[in-house]
Amino acid sequence: MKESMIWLFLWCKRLMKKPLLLFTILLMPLATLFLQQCGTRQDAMLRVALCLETTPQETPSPASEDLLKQMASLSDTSISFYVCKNKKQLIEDVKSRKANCGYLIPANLEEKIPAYIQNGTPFLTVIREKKDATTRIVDEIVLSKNYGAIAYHILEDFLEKNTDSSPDSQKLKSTFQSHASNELLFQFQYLNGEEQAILQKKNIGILMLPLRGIVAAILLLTCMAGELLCFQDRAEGKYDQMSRKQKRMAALYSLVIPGLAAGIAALASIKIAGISGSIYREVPAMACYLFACLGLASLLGKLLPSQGIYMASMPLMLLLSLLLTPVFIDLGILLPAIRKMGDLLPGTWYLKSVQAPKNLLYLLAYGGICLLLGHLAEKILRN
Amino acid sequence: MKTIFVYFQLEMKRMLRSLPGIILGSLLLILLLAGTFWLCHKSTQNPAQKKHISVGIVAREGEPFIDWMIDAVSQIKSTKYTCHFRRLAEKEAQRQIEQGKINVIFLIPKDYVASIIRGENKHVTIRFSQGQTTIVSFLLRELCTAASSFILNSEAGIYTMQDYYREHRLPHASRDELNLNIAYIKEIAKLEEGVKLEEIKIPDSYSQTSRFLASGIVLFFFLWGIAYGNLLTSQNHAFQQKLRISSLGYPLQVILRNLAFFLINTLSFAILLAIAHILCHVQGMPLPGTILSQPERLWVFGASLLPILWMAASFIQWVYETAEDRFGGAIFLFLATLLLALLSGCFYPLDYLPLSIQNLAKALPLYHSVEYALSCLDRSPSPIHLVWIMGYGSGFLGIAMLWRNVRMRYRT
Repeated sequence: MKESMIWLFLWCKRLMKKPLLLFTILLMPLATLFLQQCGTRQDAMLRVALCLETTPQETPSPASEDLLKQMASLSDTSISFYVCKNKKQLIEDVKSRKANCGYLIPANLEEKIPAYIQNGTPFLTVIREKKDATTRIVDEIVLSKNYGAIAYHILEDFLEKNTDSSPDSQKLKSTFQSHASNELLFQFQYLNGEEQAILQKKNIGILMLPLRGIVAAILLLTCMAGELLCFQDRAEGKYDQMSRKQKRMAALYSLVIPGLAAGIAALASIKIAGISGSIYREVPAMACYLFACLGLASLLGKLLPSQGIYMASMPLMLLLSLLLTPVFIDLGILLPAIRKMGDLLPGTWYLKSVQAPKNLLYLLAYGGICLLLGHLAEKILRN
Repeated sequence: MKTIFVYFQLEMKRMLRSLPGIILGSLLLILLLAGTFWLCHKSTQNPAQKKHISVGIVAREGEPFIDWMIDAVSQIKSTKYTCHFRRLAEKEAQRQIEQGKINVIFLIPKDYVASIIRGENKHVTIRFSQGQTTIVSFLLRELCTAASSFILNSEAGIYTMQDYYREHRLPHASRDELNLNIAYIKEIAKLEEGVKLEEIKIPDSYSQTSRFLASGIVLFFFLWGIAYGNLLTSQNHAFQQKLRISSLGYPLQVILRNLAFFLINTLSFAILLAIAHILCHVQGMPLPGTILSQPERLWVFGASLLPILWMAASFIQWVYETAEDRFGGAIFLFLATLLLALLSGCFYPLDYLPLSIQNLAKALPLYHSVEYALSCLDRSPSPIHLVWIMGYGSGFLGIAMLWRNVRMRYRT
């Protein structure tokens, strides 16, 4: 026990003498804080410019102005709306990518909507690049904001055609508005049936969303760098005078200590980002993932014959972690084969395990199998 | 002069010895990136054959209108070629979503339509296949907000109609209510016709595929450096001092090392280009309409990327020069590259990022590297971005030289 503690102390001291490693580990939560502060209330994934389509002689109707104000107040994480002075500025903003697309609201919306219902004449104009697929989603959102007026006009038209009476517009409108509501009729869950509370938050920066996957990749890199330290020590003959037990301890601490430091920084980053769940989920998931990474790093260290080849494998493993696990997007939607390949990496199970704790067992099994295979590989190669 | 040449030879020899391992790792990396890129590119080629997003609909047996709603939603233009709906039992749907056979489940509560009619408005639950929230989740939330608006405003119309009929004691309320419902549903289905599209051409607009390729190449150049820790960590201090005494100052040592490292990188890159050339002859060129539409032009494209390769080499050298050890250097290099890539729009389109980051990106080396690579793909290399790249390369090299000088003087 005493010997283990001395070794632990020595290895911690050794790591403290690598300032760049400590700086990098500290950089994780600091970078998260920086990225979080970068986004403001006006920032969103899609920016939509709005403008009233008027001439200098024309005065926009109250309905048009109300719609403009209503939409400009709807900004959140996904889409933000802002008002442009005129069509020319709107087009300039779309061309310079200040806005992803723009909508021209007619000055006489009260006339345009009934005309649309009667004749199908479009009442809104959208300005965007031809091949832009993402902003088509904005069409649905903008149309949903106009749908209240459309629904009312359909009702008025229906009552005029199907009844002998001519409805009192003001009273009808007032009744319609009293029945209208803004409720969200859907709720969102993760795979295990737990509610996605994060979707209820109005302003979560999109840069925070892949953070868990990114810190997972950094943790894997840290563990692999720890194994590299073992390679270096062996090459420099530092292990030659050690007993078998001491060699094992040295190898273990080289992996565990940097991994633990990176794990703590990763947990802090996830917490700062606002995407963290309960601590009773996050800590076990991180611990099991760390164990799996240690196993994988150790296995690769036993299988790969030289330091150079091991170093060459590091960017490969990192890119695999970023591409095959659903860090930024789930490529498995495009190619199911990628999902199968992603299951070979511990990062995939870590991302699943936060919401589905049964995957922790897979992580533990993964780490155990890697360590066992590493042990067997070492025996075979030594013989 | 002789010392310069001898030192340069030593550096080259040292780096050449590690070349096979680095080539092997790079080859696997290229195969991985190129393979993924090619497979994704193939799958997005034909819109009609594009991979559907599988949506499972779970509803009670005998729940009215569900099959009709599935048909109606399937016909909506924006879902016709991207979503594939099918009705499943709850346990089967959960099994399939866990196995990745479906991407999303819609859980329709019991007596859903009746609850809408009564005004209770039970909630539909949407369950995703992932364990974490992504951009897709946020966009789907926006679409669901839009869908809620359609349902609730239609409801408001129906209730208003009921109140009106009750107040005026009008006959055929149930029949007319059904007709009004149908009118609303027809209107929702064709609502897109209310928007007129005015298309504009955006200058310097590249396809997503070109962007991914350019970002992939730039990231490859930078992340390659993780494998070079052995070659670029500082040499023995006594050796450096001895070189200085032999008129090879510290800055010159850094420059010569940079030159050797750049040449080795170029050699590795040339080998990888040769392999890519063979694959392109076999498979066909991936990007029509760009410089890569002909196999011979691949070498011209590769040559035009050398400034980026040099800047990446200078950056990597600076990192290891500062770190003094491969352990910290590799981790810092990865994190710095990832951060720069995130802020430069390599992972998400720059338009999606906050305005402050969009402004910051225009001063970052990876942004200029990607834009320059894109302009090379477009057969018109951008001089502005080239100037930025050369400036950054010189800056990193300058800082590495200064750091070595200061560190050695401090030590002596």
